[in-house]
Amino acid sequence: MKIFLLFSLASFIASALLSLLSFRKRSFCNFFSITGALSALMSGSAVAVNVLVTGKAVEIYYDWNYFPGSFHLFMDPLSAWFSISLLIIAFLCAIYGTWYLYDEREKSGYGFHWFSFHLLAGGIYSVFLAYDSFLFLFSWEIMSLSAWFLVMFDHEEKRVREAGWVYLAATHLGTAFLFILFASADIFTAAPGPVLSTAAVFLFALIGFGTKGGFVPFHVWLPEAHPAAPSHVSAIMSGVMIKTGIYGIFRVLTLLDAWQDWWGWLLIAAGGMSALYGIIFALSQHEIKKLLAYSSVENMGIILLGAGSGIIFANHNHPASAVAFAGSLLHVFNHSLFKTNLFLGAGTVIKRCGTGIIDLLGGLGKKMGITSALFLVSSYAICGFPFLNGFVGESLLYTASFSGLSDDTALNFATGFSGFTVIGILALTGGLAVVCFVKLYGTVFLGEGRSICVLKGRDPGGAAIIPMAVLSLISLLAGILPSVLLKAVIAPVSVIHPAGNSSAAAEIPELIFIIFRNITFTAALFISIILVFFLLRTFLPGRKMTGYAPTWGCGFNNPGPKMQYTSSSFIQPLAESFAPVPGIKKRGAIQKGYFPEPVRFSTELPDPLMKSLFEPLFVFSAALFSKLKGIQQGSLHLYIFYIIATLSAVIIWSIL
Amino acid sequence: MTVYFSSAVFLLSLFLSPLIRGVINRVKAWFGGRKGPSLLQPYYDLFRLLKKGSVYSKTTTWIFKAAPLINLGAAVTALLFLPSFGLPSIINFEGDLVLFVYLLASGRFFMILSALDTGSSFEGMGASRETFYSALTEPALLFALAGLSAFTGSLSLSGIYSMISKSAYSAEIIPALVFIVFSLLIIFLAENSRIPVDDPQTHLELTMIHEVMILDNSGPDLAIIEYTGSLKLWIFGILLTSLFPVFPGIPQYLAIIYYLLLLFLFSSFIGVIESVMARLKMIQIPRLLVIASAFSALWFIWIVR
Repeated sequence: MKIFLLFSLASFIASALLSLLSFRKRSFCNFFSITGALSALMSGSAVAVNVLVTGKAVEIYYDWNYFPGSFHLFMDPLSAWFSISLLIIAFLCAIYGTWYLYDEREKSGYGFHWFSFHLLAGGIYSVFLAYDSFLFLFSWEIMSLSAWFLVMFDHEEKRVREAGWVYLAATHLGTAFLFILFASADIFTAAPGPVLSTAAVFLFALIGFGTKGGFVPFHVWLPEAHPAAPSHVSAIMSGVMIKTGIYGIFRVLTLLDAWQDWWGWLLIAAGGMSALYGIIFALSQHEIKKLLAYSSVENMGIILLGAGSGIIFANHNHPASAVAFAGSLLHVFNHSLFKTNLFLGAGTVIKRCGTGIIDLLGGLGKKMGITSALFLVSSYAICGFPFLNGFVGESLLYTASFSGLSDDTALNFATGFSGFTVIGILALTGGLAVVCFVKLYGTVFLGEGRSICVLKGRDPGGAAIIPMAVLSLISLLAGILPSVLLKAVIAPVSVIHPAGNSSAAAEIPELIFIIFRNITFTAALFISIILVFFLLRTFLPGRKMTGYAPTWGCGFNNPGPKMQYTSSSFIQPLAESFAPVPGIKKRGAIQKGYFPEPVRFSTELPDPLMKSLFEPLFVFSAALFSKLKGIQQGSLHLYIFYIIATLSAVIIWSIL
Repeated sequence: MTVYFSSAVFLLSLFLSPLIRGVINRVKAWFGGRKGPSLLQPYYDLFRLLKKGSVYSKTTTWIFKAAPLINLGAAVTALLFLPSFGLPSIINFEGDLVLFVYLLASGRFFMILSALDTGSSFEGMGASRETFYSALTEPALLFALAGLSAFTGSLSLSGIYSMISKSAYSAEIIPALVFIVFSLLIIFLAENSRIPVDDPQTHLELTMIHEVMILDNSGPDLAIIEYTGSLKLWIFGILLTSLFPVFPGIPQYLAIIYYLLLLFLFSSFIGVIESVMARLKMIQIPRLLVIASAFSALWFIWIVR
């Protein structure tokens, strides 16, 4: 097993280097990148599945004599759970990327792009595997920097450069907290030391990992970076990279003893805020990928809700704690599937039509039949409807919350209140997510085209269709046969579950297995009922003749695309009700006078946290660090002096 | 034995559900001083529509044709989970609450998409309102069910309602139940597009919600949508009326008659509401729905005292 694990990690590194070396020949580059990701998938998932089934961890340990830390890879069920979605998605995105970047092949950065891509995948992989503070931080930085190079692929454009800087600044702000956390407490090997208390470790982890995970208010880089990056990069970033934030929090939780109730409340508060803020802002976006980025913020919130209520249930010895953690982990996996699918679909639309502005699109369902059907699968899944995978995780979170309320043996205020809160937040965000994705799908794929952009819409080739089809198929299977997923998540849940300080069983109650078996049964029933009605409808006696006519236009017989509802008008009543929250800026005038005249009207939704919190922070840190310019003079002598000074400092330090 | 009863009740529900609409319309006609249509008029309408052919808009895709069927399938599957007339449902297991709520919502998802599929501004308008209001109804419904589940200690609809039909809850929570009943009433009105949320009889496209979404459906498709609408009336009606149980120990057939009478009494009550009230202004509907959520969440106070 060890050799497979090393091989899968090495595959990413090798395909990174090989695609960099073969930058002159695009086909070689594609070949190395796809085969590398495939061999990583094969070998890595073999190990991960084995770890999940047997529950036994795989460990690799080498000392690094002249280096701090050690090369300590450790794949326990928790790492394996996160790794599987990474391996699948890295492979699929590598395939999709060859289609997406087809007309950029002459670009000088093509080889470097794939170099960074595999470095990102490998970096995320070793974040999941690292069991040493230094190795963890090293992988973390590789991941963060390679993601920055990927975002900057179209660096000729100003908006891309700006987005790249926002991402870089935000991610390093978060990393700063992780540096303090890992430098002061070697949490992988020892309990938090005298420098940072357990509580401080938890808080630092929440901020540091939260920045990567896009929890409100640290989410500002997501809506900037995702639209700027190529779509397969946004897909892997939103599908997997932000999950490292969740992984980090879970990992820290496994390493800490004596969980506190207020950690759970803090996670529920952060989760609730992320879920509601994310979905309200996703609703009002005009650009597909920006909308999807905010929706990722929402889903990270849902995952956090599960983690938070899990902690509270565990502290109060409530059996539903395992259910809450399982719901959270299942949502991690499921979200990475459908969100990747959505980003790939959005990429196809953007590539074909040349724009991601929702209100310029429309009617693509007729031109891009396969893409639109696959996009519908993931839109339906992300709304959490049965019998696709989105429902699986959310139903567990609901069930945990319901039993937190109704289990009279252990009913107390904490479990009851957390269940109550989570039900309310989940129900409201679930309803708003439906608005959001109905708006997105309805405006982009249904109705009539709204501009000349849609004329170029047609289905892409296999390299773009196959990854989406595979993802949709996994979504469907996971939704219909959730018991398989549930069996796989048992081992990761028992890793998270505190062994020492809770008497609540780390096992998932039999109840959940019954529910999931019944979901499969009901799914079969649901499909056959629809089939029966379909047959009845088709072979119904009576008039068969059906005609085609223009859409009913209230007496106006020549309805055009401009008469349709746009995405902005679709959410207008909702946006007006929530107006105080997002602060929509309106520009332009409404028709005055008696006769029609040219009128322009547009709405815009800047992120208030970006304006009020992060811009001042960025400006302040820019001013602070520009003072350091003094030591960077460009004079070679001075730099040699710095090197000597550092070396002697290190020597003196090691002697002492 | 119970399974046969439950199956019989399920078939009964499939056949009787359009009658609710007939009762409501009859009561409204009486209030308006008219004789009103026959109680069976909804059936006549369904058969008339089924005999016709369908006309489709040139703009639409397969979603437009599939949506009514999926919606009906979802409603019928949800009906299988519904415990009615004091009997457990055909399918029931601990934890089926969430599946029940989300099944109903998934049908609506496709209906809204099919409205957008026509590219009509009217249908877009209806779709926009329907999504918004249903997003606000969802917390109310889930809170109400969570309250019932907390009081009865059961995670399945059948478990909840069998406890309630045995009156197996402490008398202290009756005030909380009153709030839940009230909020279920608002949910009933909102989910089924009745006055004061929506007016099923209006013929001005600008003011409608549900009716305007189906402007382009015709023939059997429209019949399916109308029938699904009456199934939803039935489902939400049962959810509410089953909270007023008959005293335990009476024979099952008498209980069924009692619950049927109660359901039609409730339908007449809806007819009365529709006769004495006007539709609310669009801008006030969200407030009504937030009130429903607040009322259905109030039970938490009784839990934590």
